[in-house]
Amino acid sequence: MAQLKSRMPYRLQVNGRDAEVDILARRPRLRVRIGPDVYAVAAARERGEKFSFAIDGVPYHGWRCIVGDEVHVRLNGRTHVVRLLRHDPQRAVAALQDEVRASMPGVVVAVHCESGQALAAGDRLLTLESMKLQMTLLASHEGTVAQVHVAPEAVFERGALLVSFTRQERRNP
Amino acid sequence: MFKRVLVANRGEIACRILRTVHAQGLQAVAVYHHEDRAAPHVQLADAAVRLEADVPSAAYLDQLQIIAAARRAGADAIHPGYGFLSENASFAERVADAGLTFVGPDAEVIRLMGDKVRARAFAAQHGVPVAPSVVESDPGRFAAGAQAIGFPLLVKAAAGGGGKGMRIVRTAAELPESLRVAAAEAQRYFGDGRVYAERYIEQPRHIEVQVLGDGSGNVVHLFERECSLQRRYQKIVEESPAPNLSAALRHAMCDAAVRLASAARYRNAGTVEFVLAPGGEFYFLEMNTRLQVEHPVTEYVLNVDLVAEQLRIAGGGGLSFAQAGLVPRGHAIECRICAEEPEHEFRPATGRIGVLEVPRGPGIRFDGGVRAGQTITPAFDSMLAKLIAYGPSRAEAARTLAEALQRLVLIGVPTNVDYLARVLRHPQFLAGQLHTGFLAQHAQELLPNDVPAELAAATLAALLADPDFCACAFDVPEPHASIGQWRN
Repeated sequence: MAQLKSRMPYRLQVNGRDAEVDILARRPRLRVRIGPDVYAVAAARERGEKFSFAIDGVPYHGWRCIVGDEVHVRLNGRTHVVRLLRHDPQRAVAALQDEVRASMPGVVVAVHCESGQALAAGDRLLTLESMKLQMTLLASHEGTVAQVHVAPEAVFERGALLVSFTRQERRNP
Repeated sequence: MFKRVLVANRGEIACRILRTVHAQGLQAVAVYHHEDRAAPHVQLADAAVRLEADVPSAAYLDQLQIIAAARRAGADAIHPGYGFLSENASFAERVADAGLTFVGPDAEVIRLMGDKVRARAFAAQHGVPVAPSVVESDPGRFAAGAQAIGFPLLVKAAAGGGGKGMRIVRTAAELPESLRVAAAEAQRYFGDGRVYAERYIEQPRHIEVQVLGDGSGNVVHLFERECSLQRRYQKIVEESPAPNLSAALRHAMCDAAVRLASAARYRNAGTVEFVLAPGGEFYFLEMNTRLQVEHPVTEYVLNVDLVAEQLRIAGGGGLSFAQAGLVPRGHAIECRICAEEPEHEFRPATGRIGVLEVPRGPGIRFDGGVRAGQTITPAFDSMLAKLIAYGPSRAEAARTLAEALQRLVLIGVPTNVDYLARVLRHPQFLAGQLHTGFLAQHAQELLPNDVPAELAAATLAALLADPDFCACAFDVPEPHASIGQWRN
């Protein structure tokens, strides 16, 4: 099975400490990297306060509730606080300005820009193919490309970072 | 006996009192501030009267409104609980003047014990040991008095409280300067620069004795409780009996408590608090003329309902038992569950209780005053509930309580639940090596220990609640899900 070439790490904090999570594979079973370790996960998609799944064959069950951008989880007699940093509104704004992320999974057909290139709004960035549809991504505003994170034929997931721009300096009027 | 009892309180104690009122076949009236309108104590009562106040806690301190509420709701007795108006002598008088029964002692005794200087003098007068102290305005006489007591000393503000204006003086040489600074602080904080000094007891234990009096001089004691585990000057773990306490000391303290309460012709429930020094000397601290937060541990080891006894005595029924009939069995430990963050100096926390699952089983008692969905605000005290466990031995009670804490689910607002579980499993706690500095002394050992596999599980549990993660994990359509590449 070929490795997915492009992936998005979920950045989060667990009990105040930074952590990263990647989905490495979905079939035949869900494999997830949490920090430095990889786990095989047997979980059903169940929303709600009670949860139950197995990690590497070890069952876990407990309770959780959402508190703003945190999820408070109680399992094995301890409460943990997980903050999903992706949902930080401040970061979302930064992302809108400086990063282009995939809105659905797909594959890169062609790359139309390169690192260091100055672009105007409407310039072409990438051509992507997803669910048999081709689309071309355009720059939403003027800016300078910092880096193109994918190459032709790269497969990416929803949310994957495709192109990043150099941070816009605020010019004082 | 009365027919309707108004409970002038809120939270867990209001719920607990209401339960006994109903168990006794009486009706219960609750009072509440608007912020408490969805609170359990309001739902449990037969009638509820809303109190008006700008500041929520002020509602429960409004004597006239509460008495008016009792009249309106047809209550003939008022139980004040603890805190709020429970030790307010004027309130007790007003209730009596209104022709209602105050479930508690007489106003004069409340007044006597509420004045710490008078209470102390009364105790000394009746052969109850008090900490040696010196109260002198002349520095020379003060120094002489201090020398007589011996160092270290604790210099306190006469008008003080809350740990302010207190300083430890270890040598005679430090004394003049310390007195000067303490007096200046006392003047600044309390507008009264009078100070006095008491023997400072290192690593003291806080031991208290429960008493019940019929108001005619007949008093029984219900043995002692240990309340040494404190943070922010508040007790968070209490137990009965006190561990590692000789029979001689136990009897001496209990007898002293009875002597004090009888001398005061004490009526109803009260608690005499002592400081126990490592050397075995004990000193009167104060008497609380009300029901205490930690009363359940006494109820467990003696199989009594203290609120029922309070109602009975208030109704003119006298004492239910003689001293000889009170034989403690087993061991009970209570912990106070508070909305706070132990890892940030126990600062109080706010939030909404998302999930509340209460552990049940033999030897477990949960006295709660909150419900799932309730918002915890800074308006009230941060204590949400008490969890109490009983066992034939102290070790078993501690184990049962620690397990119950682990099974308890109270999430959405930070609490000290996990911290308490660590306290209960600490070797020094299990050895009964307790003193009021315990939690500070063992702070490092009481920090949480993260297990990587469990952190991973918690992380996953959180991510599985996130729609984007689930979409990525479960919804990626074929063939992307199975293979890395796809080509038309």
